[in-house]
Amino acid sequence: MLNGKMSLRSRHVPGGLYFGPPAWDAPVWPARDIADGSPPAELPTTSASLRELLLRLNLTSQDLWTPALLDQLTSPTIRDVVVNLIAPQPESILPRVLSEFEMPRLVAGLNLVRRCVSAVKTRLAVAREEAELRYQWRSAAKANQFTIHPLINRYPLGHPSILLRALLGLKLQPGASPADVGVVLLDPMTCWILGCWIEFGTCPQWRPVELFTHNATPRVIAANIGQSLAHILSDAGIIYQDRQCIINGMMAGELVDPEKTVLEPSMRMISIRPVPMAEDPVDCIRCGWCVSACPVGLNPAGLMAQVRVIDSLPAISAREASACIDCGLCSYVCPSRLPLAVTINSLKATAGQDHPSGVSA
Amino acid sequence: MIAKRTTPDEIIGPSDKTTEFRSACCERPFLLWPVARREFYQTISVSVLLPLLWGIAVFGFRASLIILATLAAAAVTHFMLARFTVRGQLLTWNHTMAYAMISTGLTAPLVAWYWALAMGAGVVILIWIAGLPGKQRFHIALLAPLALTAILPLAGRWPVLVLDHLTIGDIGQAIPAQIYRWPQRSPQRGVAAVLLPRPEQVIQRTLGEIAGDPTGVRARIALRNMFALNLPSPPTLLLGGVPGRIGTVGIFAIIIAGLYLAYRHILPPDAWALFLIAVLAGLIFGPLSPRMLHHEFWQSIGGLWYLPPERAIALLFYEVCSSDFLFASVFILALPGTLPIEPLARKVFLVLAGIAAALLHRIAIPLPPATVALLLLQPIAPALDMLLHRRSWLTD
Repeated sequence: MLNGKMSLRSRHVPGGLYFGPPAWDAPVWPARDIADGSPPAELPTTSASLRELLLRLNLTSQDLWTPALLDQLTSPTIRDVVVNLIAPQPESILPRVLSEFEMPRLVAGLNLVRRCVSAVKTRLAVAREEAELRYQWRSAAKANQFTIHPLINRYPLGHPSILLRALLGLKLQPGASPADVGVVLLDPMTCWILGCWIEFGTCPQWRPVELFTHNATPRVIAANIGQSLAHILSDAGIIYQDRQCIINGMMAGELVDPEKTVLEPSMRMISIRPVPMAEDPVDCIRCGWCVSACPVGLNPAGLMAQVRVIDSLPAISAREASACIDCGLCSYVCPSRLPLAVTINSLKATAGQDHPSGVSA
Repeated sequence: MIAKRTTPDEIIGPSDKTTEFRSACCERPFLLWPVARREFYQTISVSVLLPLLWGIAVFGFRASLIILATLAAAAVTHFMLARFTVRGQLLTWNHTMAYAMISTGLTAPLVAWYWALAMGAGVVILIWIAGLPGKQRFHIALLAPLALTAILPLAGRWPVLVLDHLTIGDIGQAIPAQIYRWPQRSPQRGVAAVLLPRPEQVIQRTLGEIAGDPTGVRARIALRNMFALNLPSPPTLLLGGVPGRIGTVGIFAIIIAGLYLAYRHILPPDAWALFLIAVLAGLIFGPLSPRMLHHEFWQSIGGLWYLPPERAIALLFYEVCSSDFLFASVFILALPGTLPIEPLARKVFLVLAGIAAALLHRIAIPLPPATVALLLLQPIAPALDMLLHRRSWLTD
């Protein structure tokens, strides 16, 4: 069941589940110096030099959802640069926080990438409900000739496949990079770090992390990369003992032990909540909610039934499973509490082993 | 990890691989949609309650006794099976109650109370035998009691209660109906009022009479008499003051229940609408006479063409509102497992079911046609899913 005030306001709309913007208070930006240093003498001007810079800054794993920028810089035919300002998780507020407090650095980083890849057009994908975010970007977009695209935000819209389909009508096959269809997809964190490098000649050894706790206002704090999560939570005055610690969102996140986990560059949010009551999985009742909710048009119940009936999955079903973007919506809506997302995820792994010709995502 | 309740593995059974997934069930997502399976059936039960209460208001104590007998028998059987059998522990209380309530909603108000008891117990036993929750590839637990009640003798001549006062008539005292104004051709008494043909049957009989000569003088007189004398007024029909099944007479209650189910995401609104459209299409373009291939069939269609539009619409209104079409398109469609889960397969299924319901309606079987059509077609739902499976837009 949804857990008290951590529940999301959601409703059903044709085509998927819609999560409205969280009605939470204004975010808090950590008052912390970014780094000591001086601006670099020379900025990269080509995609090759930008690639070298990214390798030097270790910026290949900053974000969970955006494919590594490094892999996108090899394509010679880039037409568009798209900045994904849509929250990667329903409860995320980081794009709004970054835009509110760090707009100059975001714009500087974005302009650097745009110049290096020689993109024709720069687009900002914004959730239509995020009026505040659109307002924050309005003047910057006008001055730099960015185009703002408000999109109706159904939760997994932050995924590259869904975003590119919704924004540009481009079909991104499973396992493909946005650069394969002529697009460089950026997340605001990458832009911010590049902007910091332009200003200080180095990138910060900490990152902003969103903290969500039960019955409390969410916060954005500055946490050192490599620091123990237990330490971070203790410093923030959050009790984490006998509670669940979930990183990177409640939908597609991961349950971790804060004592044994350190902050990695890809960790953007930490959620602490009481351990909820259990609900055992039962047999599928063929309600069809998973099919209705799946943003890529899969039949999760059918895939799971195939796994249960036959031991080896047909190649066509394996390819079908490879289209899963792992958003977790099927498991979220399932009234039988079946582990659909987890099962399909394991199918993808199996399919990748059985069919090395590229069916895995 | 989330703490899990322990369930004996022997209850699940070694062949059920649900147990294999239990270890992984508490991974992401960490938020769960607030409708679990028990809420699913509970919501259906609550929504069925409204038409049943409406039926009690219309048919009086007799209906309440039938409903109580069915539910009590279902409850006792449920607890007995759960107490004394291993398999019975997999029965779900909300699921049992939802099935028992739907069954009693489709029962005529003159069924004897002991048959209601048998129906309630039978529903649970059939669920236990063939359709445990989640394994209902065929809603035999709903269809079998319906078929049974259709062939059982009615208890109208020996009422259970002394004062069996109905809104539409006083069965026990055989006093002429005070509120019920239909039919107006002669004063009807209690049992007769309940046993009189339903409006849908009146329409069917009249259309059968005029099939040979739909544009003649005799047909015009028959149609005029039907509208003027033999059919209730629309407000009477909407308020449920007509003979019918306990749960199907409350049109407003069914609509409210449907809206509630749609609000809870349990009833797909498009399914409801598509089924009704298919039913209406079947009624319009389907055989207006049982002799489908006879030339009278085409003549009767021509007769319908000569009907003034308002009368044709009124006929459809009476057909839909006085039968089980609304009830089935709300409650049977809301039952999980009735529909295919692929979007295209669902549309094809609904159109097929709508046409089948219209055909059954024309054949005039003693069973509720829309319900029976949906239940009979349910086994082909998985096959339609396989045939009309649409590949993901990411992989095609």
